[in-house]
Amino acid sequence: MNTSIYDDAATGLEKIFSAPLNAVIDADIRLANSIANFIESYGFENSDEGDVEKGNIETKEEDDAKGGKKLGPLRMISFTYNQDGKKVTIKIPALSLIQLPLLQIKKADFDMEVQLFTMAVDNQSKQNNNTEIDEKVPSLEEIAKSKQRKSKPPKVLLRGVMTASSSAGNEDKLKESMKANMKVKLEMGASDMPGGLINMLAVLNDVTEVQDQVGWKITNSPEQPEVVLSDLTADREKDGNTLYHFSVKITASLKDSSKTEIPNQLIVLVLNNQDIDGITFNYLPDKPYYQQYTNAWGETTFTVSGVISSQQFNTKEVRFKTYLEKNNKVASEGTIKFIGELTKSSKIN
Amino acid sequence: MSNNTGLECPKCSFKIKFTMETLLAQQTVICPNCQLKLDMNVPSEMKGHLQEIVLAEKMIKDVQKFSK
Repeated sequence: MNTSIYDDAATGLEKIFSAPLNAVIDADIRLANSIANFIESYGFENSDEGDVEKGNIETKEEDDAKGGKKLGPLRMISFTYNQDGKKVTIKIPALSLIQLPLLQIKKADFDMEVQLFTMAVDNQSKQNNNTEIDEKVPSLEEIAKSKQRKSKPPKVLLRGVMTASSSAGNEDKLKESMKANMKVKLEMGASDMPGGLINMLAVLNDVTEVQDQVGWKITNSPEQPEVVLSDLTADREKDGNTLYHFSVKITASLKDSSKTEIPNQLIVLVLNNQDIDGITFNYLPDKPYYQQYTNAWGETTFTVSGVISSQQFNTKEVRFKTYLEKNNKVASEGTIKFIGELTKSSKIN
Repeated sequence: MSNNTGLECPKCSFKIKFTMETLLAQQTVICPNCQLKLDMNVPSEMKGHLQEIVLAEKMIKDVQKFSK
């Protein structure tokens, strides 16, 4: 048996290999925790502040027991710019503005040199003691001899010690007993950005607030414009079908929270159910909607017009919506009502 | 890693990219596409966090150059 003084220091190879891997995994977990803390402190206002005022301070364990710490409101960064002589402020979540510093271990190379000791333990002694290796471990020669005797060879365990690097310069200086006889290279990879974070960023991109538009309101007049079918005159005949032209005016008025009219804003009018049998709307060219700017009094009047085909028409109402083009949350809805019955007029152009 | 961060220019919809240094040091940003000038207001407590991260990143870069 090898009686080198390094025998006592020899460690199971699995421990030599797993120790640095475990250390890397441990470091990765710490990094993930650091990133979570960063997101919490940088991206959200301190949720504890409200609790402090209320005297409700909870420990981390209590937070965990309740499914994690409550996050405060999103931290927002505001930007102000000039639009048509008026200052407009937009707010955007801080988290969606910069790339998160997602530190992660992409690759870890371990280049270690190990002096390998072949050690063995017989099965019987291992049964008696599962953790400790039998002190009377046979050498390679003894194992070979046991094979020659056709007896059952003892279970071989590999143990080793890490040695100094045997690079070109110091190889001669190393004692023979210290020289490595095994070079090991381990590699670790890491995954990309977690899907949850990608989803969170996508959500954050949608919560940008336009500060100056908070409190803006659109009012439609009338809210329920009516088309009296019996008043329509037959426009023309086509393939035995009578066509009626109709037109209705809807005025959208845009005001802020202090009831001040807001001019020069693009308002869109869209019909909720555009494909109605028997009606063809006269939209803008190439667009399935209407859009116009508000005038100096914050108003714009849409003329919703179209052609009704008598054979297929059986509609009582069409929902419509007006909204601010740059922020569709500023919106108002209404209904165009078709009342009465179509009557065929003798006056056909 | 996908990088969809930044501010969509309110005038031309160009995605304006930001770095931590930009948020720390600048008070205005200009859209590279339409030259719209935007005044930026970063809360001071957020600047503290940014400062820490910028320093940490600098240290990491220094460590990457380290060789035994």
